[in-house]
Amino acid sequence: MNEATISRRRFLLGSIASAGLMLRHSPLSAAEALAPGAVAYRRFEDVYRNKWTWDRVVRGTHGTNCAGNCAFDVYVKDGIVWREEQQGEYEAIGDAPDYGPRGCNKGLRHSAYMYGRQRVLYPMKRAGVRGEGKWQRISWEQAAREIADRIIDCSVQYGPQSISLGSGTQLAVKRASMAALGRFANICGFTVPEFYSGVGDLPSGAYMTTGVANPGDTMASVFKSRCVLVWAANPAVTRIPDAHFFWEARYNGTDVIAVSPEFTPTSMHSSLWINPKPGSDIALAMAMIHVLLSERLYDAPYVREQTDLPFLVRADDGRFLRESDLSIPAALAKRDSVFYLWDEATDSLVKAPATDMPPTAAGRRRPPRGSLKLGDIRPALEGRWKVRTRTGDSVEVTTVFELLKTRAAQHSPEVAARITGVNAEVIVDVARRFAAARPAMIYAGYAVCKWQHGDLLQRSMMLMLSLTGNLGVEGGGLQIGNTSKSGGMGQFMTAGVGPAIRMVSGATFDYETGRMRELNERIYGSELAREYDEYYQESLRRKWFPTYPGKGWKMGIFAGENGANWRASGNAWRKEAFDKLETIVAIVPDLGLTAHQADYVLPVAHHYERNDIMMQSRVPYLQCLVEAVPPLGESADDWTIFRRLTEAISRRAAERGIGAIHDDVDGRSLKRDFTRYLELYTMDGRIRDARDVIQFLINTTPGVPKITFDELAARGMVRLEHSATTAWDDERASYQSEFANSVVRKRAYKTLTGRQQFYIDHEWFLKFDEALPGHREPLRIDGYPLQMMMGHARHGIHSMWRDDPVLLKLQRGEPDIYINPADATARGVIDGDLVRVHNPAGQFIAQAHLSNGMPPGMLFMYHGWDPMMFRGRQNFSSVICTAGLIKPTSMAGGYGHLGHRPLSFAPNQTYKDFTVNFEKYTAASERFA
Amino acid sequence: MRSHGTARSKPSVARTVDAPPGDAALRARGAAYALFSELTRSPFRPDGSIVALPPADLPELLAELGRVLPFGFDASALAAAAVDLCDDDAALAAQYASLFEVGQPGPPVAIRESLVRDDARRALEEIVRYYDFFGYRLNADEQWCPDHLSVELEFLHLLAARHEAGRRDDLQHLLASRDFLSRHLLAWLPAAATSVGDRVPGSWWQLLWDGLHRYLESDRLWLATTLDGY
Repeated sequence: MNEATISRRRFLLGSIASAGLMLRHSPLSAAEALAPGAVAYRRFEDVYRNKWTWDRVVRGTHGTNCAGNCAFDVYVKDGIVWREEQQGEYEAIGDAPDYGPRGCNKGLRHSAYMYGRQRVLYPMKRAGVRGEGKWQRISWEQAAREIADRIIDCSVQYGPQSISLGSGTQLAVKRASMAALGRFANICGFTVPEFYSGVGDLPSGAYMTTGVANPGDTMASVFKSRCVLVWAANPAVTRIPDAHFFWEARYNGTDVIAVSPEFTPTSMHSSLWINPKPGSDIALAMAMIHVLLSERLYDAPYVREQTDLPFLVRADDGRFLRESDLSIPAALAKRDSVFYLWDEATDSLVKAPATDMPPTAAGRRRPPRGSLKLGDIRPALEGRWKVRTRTGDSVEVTTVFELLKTRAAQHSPEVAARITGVNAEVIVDVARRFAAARPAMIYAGYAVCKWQHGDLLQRSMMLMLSLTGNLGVEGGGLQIGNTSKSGGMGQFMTAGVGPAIRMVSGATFDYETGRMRELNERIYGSELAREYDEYYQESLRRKWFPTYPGKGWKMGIFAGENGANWRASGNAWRKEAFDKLETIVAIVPDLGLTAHQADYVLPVAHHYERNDIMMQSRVPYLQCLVEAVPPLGESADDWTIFRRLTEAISRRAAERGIGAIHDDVDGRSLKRDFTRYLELYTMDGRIRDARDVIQFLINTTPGVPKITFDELAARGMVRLEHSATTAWDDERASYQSEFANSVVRKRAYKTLTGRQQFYIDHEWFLKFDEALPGHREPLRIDGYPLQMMMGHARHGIHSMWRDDPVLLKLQRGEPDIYINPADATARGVIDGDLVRVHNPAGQFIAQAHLSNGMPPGMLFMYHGWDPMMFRGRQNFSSVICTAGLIKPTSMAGGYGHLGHRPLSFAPNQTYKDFTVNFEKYTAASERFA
Repeated sequence: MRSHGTARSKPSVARTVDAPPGDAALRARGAAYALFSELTRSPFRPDGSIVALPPADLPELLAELGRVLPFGFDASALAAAAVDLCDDDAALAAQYASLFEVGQPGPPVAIRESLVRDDARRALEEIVRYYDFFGYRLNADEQWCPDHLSVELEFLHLLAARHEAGRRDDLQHLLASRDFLSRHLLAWLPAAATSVGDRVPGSWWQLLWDGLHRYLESDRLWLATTLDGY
């Protein structure tokens, strides 16, 4: 600490004999402090005689990724937040229930939690070895200077891609913070492993089908539905402020059908609960599709116009019939995006309207492709025909619809009953109920995405909705979560700099840095490991996806995330990648595992200590975080922290005489001048603080009312424009309205075929028999019979609030794992015992929580418990071993809409395809050193 | 000590204390609180500087206190330790931080009352009520931690100084000191002192926390005696 300024001073009192009143914590002068009080004190009750009043009541919310976006009033007195209260000023819209008041147990605990002992309040530097827990408090100046030096050194020696700037969802939902992080990363050229695929939430199947990764409307759309399949979701626990929409819908006559292996609080309130075995959901969906097809419960006009089901497919090679098959000039021009229908009206082959998508680079706007209107064409759904190709040969063609019938027939309810454990009659009944209801929706949790073959499940869900004409209909659709148009955010990140960021899938990032091929070999065998790796490398070779930093990852900056906690293959990743970093910087509000292992810890302000804005598609309001009190201790908001770092980088580069470096981002040559980072970051001083960032975003984001931040802060939230209906169906809105564009306005989908595309004839999809969805057995580990499932918790949002003492009292007080009583009895375990959960990847200890809600053969754990709360710092991520399971089709590219599309199409890190076993844990079986 | 039964009439704040101590003794009492407030204050400043702990003339100050205080207080061990302390202020500051400011889950020893009280919010509210009642306001950057040990000690310093500066028959500041001591500082400081002793036995910090604990107990006894009947 010799860098700090040390000033030995004489004790202020001088000598006792002459001691006056010298206050160091108070601004009072001696005269003020010595002035007698107006009311005499006699006993402690006297201090309670004055009415407790608030200095101010501030609007606020909580910047966490619960997607709740709950407007709160925050009560402040004497610089302390004492309490918060749900702001009940949401208006009612139409005949749907209104959104307020919103809130939950976590939000109502925050005024206490923010002052808790877990808070990191000062910049810290590691004093002992990593993870030892010895810290040295340092000044911001020292922290920024030393980190800046490391950034400069790494950038010069290894290139800026050797430095990662990881953003977690907790940061990403706070728009000014995310914009600041993005601008910082863009200026510096860091690698940004994007969190969406990194946590396994990327809805790849939805994107494959529609070109839109995030279908979803507002929560009120649930109320508009007549049948809701709540599938792999548990809104009674995870969407506390919104769960009432389901129950009010049910009261209004809607069929609310829960689909989950375990009996959840959502199941309890539903009309019906069906419980397929873990990982068998595709079979369930395909069986229902079979019912829809075989009983002709589908909406034929919708299917003909909106989907690729009437498109023709060659019987010989399984590929779509294309113009290049029929025309020599088209073949020479490699025109592969014109497709064909068989017109029943003329009994002839016709070009499908609105196909012919020219190749377009990622991020570039595609030209419009005409209307989906069929006019006089009546596309056949069923049949087989002969077509003469450009070479004069005759090939047989049929429709995707026919192929789908065949595929669905392989998943009859009886077959599916054997796979899923759900009675065949129940499957038929649910399919009929779903088909009879108009509109019907599938409310799917992100858990769907976390299976290796989650894309296939999503594609089959989309099929159910599409066959019944429920995609793009108010009260229908696959409800996952819409994403806002990125105008304002992207503009802020790149203004005056241009796009120079390296965004990469979190899955490929971990695969590269964590030697996941070796893990695959160890867990799943050499054959799978070799095959997956070959496709992975082939994808990179063909430049379908980028990869950085490869094995040159030297420095990790983790902002708003607890990266070392929640990781597919946590142990392997920590050992092979995280622990080998030369420098780890954690920007955090508390000391979870990531920070505990870091070299530098920078304290970040909590929700009531910063200005920011939040938007979330399910709640059609712009919400604000307002600085009710200054950041505690020496914490600072994200904008300020990145500003301090850019300032230090610029200053140190100038002091050290470090010149600009050349950089190459995806083929673009750039010059990065460290000395200009501060002026770039602040836009030449025009952006001074987070409020300026917010105003920039408000002014540039479509659909956001153009008000000042002060006005917003006074109101707490404002309704987003063009959100009068419960669906995002207005092009001027801030959220994507792709389905309405296609269903109502007949615009082509952003897929290769211009349709909802259920058939993907990419060579890899054909090879793996994934051109159409179908059941795949989840991977299991030999000798480990139990499937371990996880889900979001009621008493925490990821790792935040998981350690709150009051919330812990509402649970078991420590990490617990739900076990079926029969499984427990077979292992001599009773409720409350500690159990060791293990597989070849690792182990962890947790308290057994016996529940008949768990099916036999399955364990369940609410996630978010930080490793620091477990013995040996080993949490559930030590047994998850799926980070290497990057399925080949998720790396496919060179095919219309498939290829590198950050936040839309990328390899998804999955978390489900593994099994475990458990045994009673006693001190004698202690296996942790 | 008289009973504090409910039948007792309300104490008169104007009652004169028997055999009041001299000005120097009262001043020393307040100065001791100021001294302990300073010694338990974080040495880190927002501008990056680190102030020295303890002050260079601490042995003399402690010796002076021992002579002048209105009650017996043996600070010789603390004074001796201060003499023996190395001159590495940065190292001492690092020890302070690692004991009281950083750690997982939370610092090893609580330096704020609300971190250890089961009724944390009620305790914090009462502290703020005491401060408001007596017009004690905190600097903006310290308002978030009115329950910091150093701040609570400074408040007692303020009460002591007001009593010393005011009329001797005005007992309200002594009464408040007595109540605040028992309801707050002495409700949590002893456990913290034990914790310090467990973690860094024989250290300057153990001696300081132990010395502070003994001082608080001595003052509590003195207040009880002085306010006997109130």
